[in-house]
Amino acid sequence: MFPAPSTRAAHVLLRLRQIGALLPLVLPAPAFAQAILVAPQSVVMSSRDRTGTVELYNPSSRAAEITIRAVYGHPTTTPDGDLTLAIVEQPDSTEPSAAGFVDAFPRRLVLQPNQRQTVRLLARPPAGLAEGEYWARLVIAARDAEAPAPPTDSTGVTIGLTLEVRTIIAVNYRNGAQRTGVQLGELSASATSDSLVLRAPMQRTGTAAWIGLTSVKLLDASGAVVASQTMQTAVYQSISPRFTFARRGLAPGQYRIAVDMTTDRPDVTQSTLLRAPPQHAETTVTIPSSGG
Amino acid sequence: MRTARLAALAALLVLPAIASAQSATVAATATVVTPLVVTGTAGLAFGNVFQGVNKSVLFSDATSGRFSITGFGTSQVAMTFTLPTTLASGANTLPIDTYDVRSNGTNVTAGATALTVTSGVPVNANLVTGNLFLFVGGRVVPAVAQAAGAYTANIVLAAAYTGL
Repeated sequence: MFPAPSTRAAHVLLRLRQIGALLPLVLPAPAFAQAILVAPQSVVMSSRDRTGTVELYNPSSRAAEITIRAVYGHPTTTPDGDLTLAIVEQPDSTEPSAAGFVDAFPRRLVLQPNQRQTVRLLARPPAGLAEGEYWARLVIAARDAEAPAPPTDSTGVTIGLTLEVRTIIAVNYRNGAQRTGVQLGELSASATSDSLVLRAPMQRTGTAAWIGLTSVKLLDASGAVVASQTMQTAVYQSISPRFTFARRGLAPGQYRIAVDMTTDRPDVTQSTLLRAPPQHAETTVTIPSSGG
Repeated sequence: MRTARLAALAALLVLPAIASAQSATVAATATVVTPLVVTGTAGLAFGNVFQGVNKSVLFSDATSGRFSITGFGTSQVAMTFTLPTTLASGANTLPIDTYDVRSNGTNVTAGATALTVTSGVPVNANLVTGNLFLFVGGRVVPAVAQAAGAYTANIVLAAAYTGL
């Protein structure tokens, strides 16, 4: 529809300026709040360009003290199938951690109300680093930079808890050309007293994290979609998420559950999104007539 | 939807200026994505307490702790609370033994659902409407001989998209 910006540098500048200009409109400032807005939500760096940027904005009415650090982590699932973010403070050498060689500049700063700051990321990988994708999470913590008011009554006991907020974003470093893919394992579905529960094992293939979208559809015997849900999905190694559909309103009988995975992610910078062939799998589940 | 319209309007206003600044005809596309924003709206304030008398702040009280999370609609967020068990005033300490964390898609305590929160363990939430509001109550247990002073500690909320 539109011609692309002529150079990558111009494109980066354009994005930063767009984000900076849009932030006050996207997020009206609360009257008294501690917050920090971080964009983008994921940064991809490569061995060709070992730099990245993160834009910070303080939408609140009070100064914020910001600290930034890198840790190793990636999304995974609990034994019950809940997605979670696994943070490992000290990963062993077998983990593809970029936390040890990704630095943020500055790492500490104070943002005044409505102030913006660009944080530059620099990857300094060790010599001889094997090709592959290396992962880190940037933890951006914000707390009130203004000193708390002194107690008004020095003879009594006064109690108050302050708040600190942390936004965690993904930072991936690609050493060499990378490819990704995902493989859907055997689906398992069951009916509980009030729900239909699906577990969908997902195994990443290729050399880099699979970032995409999972669509799950529940179809009745006629093939009509009676319920559906989508989930933004990141498969770094392997996960087995749980999907649940309420049984309320569903007649007894057999249903088909279809799972589709694609790398369509409009919320991710398209130039860094790795494409992969779509995946599809199906299974069936029966709602017994006796209500069990 | 309102946010998206605002952002789209802003993009229309901003892009021509950028193009002209580069002294060439450059049109560009921009996908505006709602960033994840974690806000600590209000601290958990117990105010003045009496020595030896426990004091609770309900999640629905005006002085409860308040957080909000704004992000991409329909996305899932992993939240990790760090809930201190001790408050400090200099070298003196005071225990806080109970927390009650509730969440709601709108900024009202009515209808808020209880979250099972363990300090340091992620708990998930779906940003169905792009917003999530969190209310934190608790109970402090001052000793009979509790030393006078202003006791404080930090409640930390860390949030991350699970799909990135």
